[in-house]
Amino acid sequence: MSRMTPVDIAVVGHTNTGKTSLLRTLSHDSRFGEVSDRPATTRDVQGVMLLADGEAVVAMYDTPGLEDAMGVAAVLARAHAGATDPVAAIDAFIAGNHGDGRYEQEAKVLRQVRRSDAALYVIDAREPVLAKHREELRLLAACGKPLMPVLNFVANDEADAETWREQLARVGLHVLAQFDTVVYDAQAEQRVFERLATLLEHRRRDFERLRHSRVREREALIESACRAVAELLVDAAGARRHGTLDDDTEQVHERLRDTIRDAEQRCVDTLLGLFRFELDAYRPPELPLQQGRWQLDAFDPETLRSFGIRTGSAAAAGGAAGLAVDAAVGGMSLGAAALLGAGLGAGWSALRSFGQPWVDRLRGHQDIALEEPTLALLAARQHLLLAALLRRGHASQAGVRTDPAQAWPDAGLRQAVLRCRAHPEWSRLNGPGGEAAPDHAVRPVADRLRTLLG
Amino acid sequence: MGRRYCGGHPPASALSPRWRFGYNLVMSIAPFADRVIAELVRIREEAAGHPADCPTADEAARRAGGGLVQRIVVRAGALPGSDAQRRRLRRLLGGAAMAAMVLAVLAGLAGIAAAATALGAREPASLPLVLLVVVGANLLTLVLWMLLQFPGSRIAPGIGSVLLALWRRGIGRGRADGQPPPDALLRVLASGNLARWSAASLVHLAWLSFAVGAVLALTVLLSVRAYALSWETTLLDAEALTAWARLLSVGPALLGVPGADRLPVIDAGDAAQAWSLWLVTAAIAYGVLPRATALAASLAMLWRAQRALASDPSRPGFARLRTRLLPDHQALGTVDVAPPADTVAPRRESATATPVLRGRVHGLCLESSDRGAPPLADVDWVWLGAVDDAGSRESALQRLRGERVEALAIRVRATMTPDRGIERFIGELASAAPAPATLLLDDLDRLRARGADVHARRLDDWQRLADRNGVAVQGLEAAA
Ligand SMILES: Nc1nc2c(ncn2[C@@H]2O[C@H](COP(=O)(O)OP(=O)(O)OP(=O)(O)O)[C@@H](O)[C@H]2O)c(=O)[nH]1
Ligand SMILES: [Mg+2]
Repeated sequence: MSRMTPVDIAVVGHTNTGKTSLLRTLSHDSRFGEVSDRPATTRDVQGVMLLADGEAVVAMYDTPGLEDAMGVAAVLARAHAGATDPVAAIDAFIAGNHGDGRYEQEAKVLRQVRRSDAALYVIDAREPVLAKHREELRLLAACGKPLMPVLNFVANDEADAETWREQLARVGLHVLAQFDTVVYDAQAEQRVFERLATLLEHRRRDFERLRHSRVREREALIESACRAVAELLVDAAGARRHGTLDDDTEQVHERLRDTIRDAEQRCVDTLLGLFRFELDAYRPPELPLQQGRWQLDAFDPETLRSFGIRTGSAAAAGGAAGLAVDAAVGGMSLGAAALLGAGLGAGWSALRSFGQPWVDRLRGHQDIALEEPTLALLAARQHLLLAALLRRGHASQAGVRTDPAQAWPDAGLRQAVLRCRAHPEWSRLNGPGGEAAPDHAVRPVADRLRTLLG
Repeated sequence: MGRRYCGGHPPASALSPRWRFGYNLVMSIAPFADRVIAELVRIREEAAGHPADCPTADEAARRAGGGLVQRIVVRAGALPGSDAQRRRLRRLLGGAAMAAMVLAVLAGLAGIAAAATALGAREPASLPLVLLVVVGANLLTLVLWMLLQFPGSRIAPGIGSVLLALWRRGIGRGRADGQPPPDALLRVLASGNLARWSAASLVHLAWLSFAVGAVLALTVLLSVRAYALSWETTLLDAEALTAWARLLSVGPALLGVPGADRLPVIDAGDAAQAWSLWLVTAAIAYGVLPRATALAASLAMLWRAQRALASDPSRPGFARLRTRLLPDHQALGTVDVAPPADTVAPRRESATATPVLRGRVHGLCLESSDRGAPPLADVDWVWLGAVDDAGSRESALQRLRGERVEALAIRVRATMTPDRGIERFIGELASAAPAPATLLLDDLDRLRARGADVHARRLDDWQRLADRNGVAVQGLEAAA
């Protein structure tokens, strides 16, 4: 199949209604163009290509704001009244001197609409419907291209989407979309492309491709974000710092605190990187770390289970080593070496996962881990951050804030995280020898987060 | 962190002949090396907190195309340092392959020795004893291994960690202090199912060569020497012995060698030949075949485990690369350039002092429904109403031109954006009425609710607009 050229969409509207913001959010790029709440921020026409699985499907063009449609209408009426039809009048206006250059900005908008397959008309839904808007719509209609209004600022209390709908219907615009560029809604984004497809029926396949790739990407994004948080929690739950009893306990705590703080910052950076928000959008507040001595609870079922599991795993490994020895000595030992190996494995494992903290203590060591409230705080904070990022549009300019929540977001998450306290070997924070958490440790935490986020 | 050299591939280095065999072996699974390196890069970048910056590698990945996973692997391979890792990996795998071969040869020799010893230890050779020596330990350890597979995946990752721990405690500790701990490459190779199934494959391989060696030795020895073979027992009675013989014959019988009807309790010519054939077949049935099956299964699992390496793009370290390697948008740049910024519009002399609105004042309300005249003290309003579309604009201008205007007040919503359209009209109003004009800013509370900075900026914008047109500005507080 030959490659079709991408669909061209012009994004137009009155000045300061959020055209550039809309493009930032639709392209998931917080660096596109310039955004400010002053008039005439955007002065030239800039494009961004939306790709589906790496292939160009829809090109969107940001245009300067329409500021004086009534002035343009007056020029049109005066200078191009003789044109055969409205489109010819617009073309004549574009080709002319734009009212001695006064309407250069408007001419750019109209030119871009004429070049495009369709236009999105961005509306600040907080504004009343005014004569200038009707004039703009008339001008755009005269360009002879499909036009779809997009109601912006709809998450705002001042927005009056109903009145806008009604008024737009009066001028024949029935297909419209609501899309707040600051409070992001993936479904609303889908609807924008879906409606565009109804407007440009012959390009429906391109919009469908874009929509499907967006769904997949969002899915992958949420998945990996949950996973990043889950890995942090597993790491933190298993984190240990050793010191001798003579060491200043405060110092050992401080070491652990630094480690956790760095890990949290890394997680936050990863999340912001995944969502592609600017890296200084969020700084987690200081961790109020409690006295972090974790009493090894022998009756904690997970500790007990871990004992069994570790025994099993070491037995298997020890056994395997034994088997190899057997083969090498020609099988004459009749597998005794394998049995011996298994026995060694079990004993060694027990020493490591159960005995060692006690042995350490006897030998004058202390072993510091995080207390539950700190883990709860970490979990609550990352969960809130994640929830905030999921609802953040790339046009948003405010910092990310999370409530000072301190409690576990949910009992299931608590359980899944606390289970990992018995597994320092799952934590990457215990020195370079530490393995990354295995899938079966991270998965339950990530899945729980996933359901929490809905 | 200093920026490292970031370039293309250095020329493939010549490997010493010693590693040639391993190299060739590994070349056949080159994608495996690529994925190991991708995994290494992920671990390194996750620890660093951010992916390394190497535009040439990103570019190479984008050019390679394909899905995200494929691009990630290509990028990892193109990063500086990856080639050194690749060479190390090849050496390691080559070494491992050699070790496996040596182990297999030793095990084969052991099998030969075991069979020869069992067969030649005593005359007549006891069939059950020979069989026990040749396949007993093999079967027993196989059964043990299979039992260990049962509790599921929980057990298995232990192998890697035990090997690592052994490394850490043994070899690692034997090195001088300050030596780096087992490095990331070994960690990747020892992680999860990879280590589990390579260990299993190795063990099965060793046992398989043991069994094959034994079978070969039995075949050769039984072919070239006359052995007296017997079913012997001290403890069991004849029936039990017969029952055992029948039971053990199940395997050989399936392979078409049932043994002889009569147990060769004493040497009995034909029967000895049948039983020697039976012995070889039994060694194959109980020694070679089970191990071969287990080896095939382990290799299959090993294959699967290595396929799983670096295959999950949801790992945060990989997912972060999506923006660079498989972007969802691409800037097209400016397609229609703005003319150079206007020279600042000539400023009309601004109202010197803010005139106090009092007496007879013409007033109107712009771009909103008519809100009526604001209740200001000392003002006697001539209210022109709401002005919005071109028609009402024109009639308002007409009236201002026609009447004697002492002062003009223009009521606007402060929340509105002060754009060029409204500015042009305010300018027209101001020049239509040769009298001091004032902008009355309405809805200041709503503007304030949008934030202090928004509020300040917008007031500033109105002030500038007013200054440009020689108009004064006054806020209409809600209380007024
Ligand atoms: N709360 C909120 N603010 C928005 C939204 N969309 C845009 N903004 C803000 O509105 C202001 C204008 O946004 P821009 O994207 O610059 O608007 P524009 O239409 O490109 O403006 P010009 O280029 O000047 O014509 C900025 O301060 C944005 O942060 C929205 O949906 N909600
Ligand atoms: Mg803009």
